[in-house]
Amino acid sequence: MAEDVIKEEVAQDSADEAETQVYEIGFHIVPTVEEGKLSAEVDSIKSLIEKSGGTFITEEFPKNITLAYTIVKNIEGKIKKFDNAYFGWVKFEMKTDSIVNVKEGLDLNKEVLRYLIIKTVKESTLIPKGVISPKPEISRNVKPKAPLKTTPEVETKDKENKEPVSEKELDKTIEELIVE
Amino acid sequence: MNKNFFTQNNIKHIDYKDVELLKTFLKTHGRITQRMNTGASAGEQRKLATAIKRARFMALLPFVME
Repeated sequence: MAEDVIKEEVAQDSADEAETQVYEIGFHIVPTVEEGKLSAEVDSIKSLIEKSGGTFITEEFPKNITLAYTIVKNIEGKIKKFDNAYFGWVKFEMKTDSIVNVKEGLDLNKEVLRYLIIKTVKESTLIPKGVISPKPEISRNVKPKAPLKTTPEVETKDKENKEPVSEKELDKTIEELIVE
Repeated sequence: MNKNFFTQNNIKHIDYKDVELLKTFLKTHGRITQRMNTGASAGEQRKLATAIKRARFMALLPFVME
C-alpha cells in the first residue's frame, strides 16, 4: 500500500513539473502610444501574465524601432499602417494550461500591434556583444580548380635531370666552367 | 570542410531577437543561406531557419530585400 502511495506522489510531482514551461512573449506596441504611457502598457501585459499564475524571469522595456516592412492592422474597422513600433519582450514561467488565457488577453489588447509567444529556456539565449566576431565567415562552396597539367616535355626534362651523374663527368663540367 | 559557426562559438540556442547575427545568414535578397554554405548541422540549420522566420514575422527582418 505504502509503495502505491509513494508511486502516486511521484507521478503527481512529475506531472506538475511537466506542466510548467518557460515562455517568452515578444510584442510590438503601437507607436501612437506616448512614451510616458508605455510603462502602463507593459504593466497591463505583465498583470495579464501574473493573473494566469506566471512568474517573471527577465524582461526588456519596449524601444522604438523601425520595422523591416509596413504592418497593416485593422483597428476598430479602420485599416492602419505602421512603419515603426515599440518592441519589447518578457520571459516568464507558467503552467501550460494558462498560456491560452494570456493569448486571449493579448488578442483583445488594441495597443498591441503584433505579438509572438514562444517556448524557450531559462538561461539567456541572446549572445553577448563582443564575444563573437561581428560577421561570421560564411564559406561559399567554390569548386577547387583542376590541377595544372604539366606538359610531357617538362616531365622528361625533370627525369633527365634526375639521372645520376658520375663524379668524372661532374669534374669535367666544373673544369669547363672555370676555364670559361 | 566548411566551418561551423555555431559549434565554434558554443551557441546552443539561436534567438530571433539577435537580428545582426541572423542578417549574416541571409542572402542578398533576404533568402536563408543554405546549409552547405553555413556549415551548420541539420539541427542547427533548423534552429537558424526558425529564428529567421520568427524575426520575419515580428518585422525585425524583411521577407524580401530589394
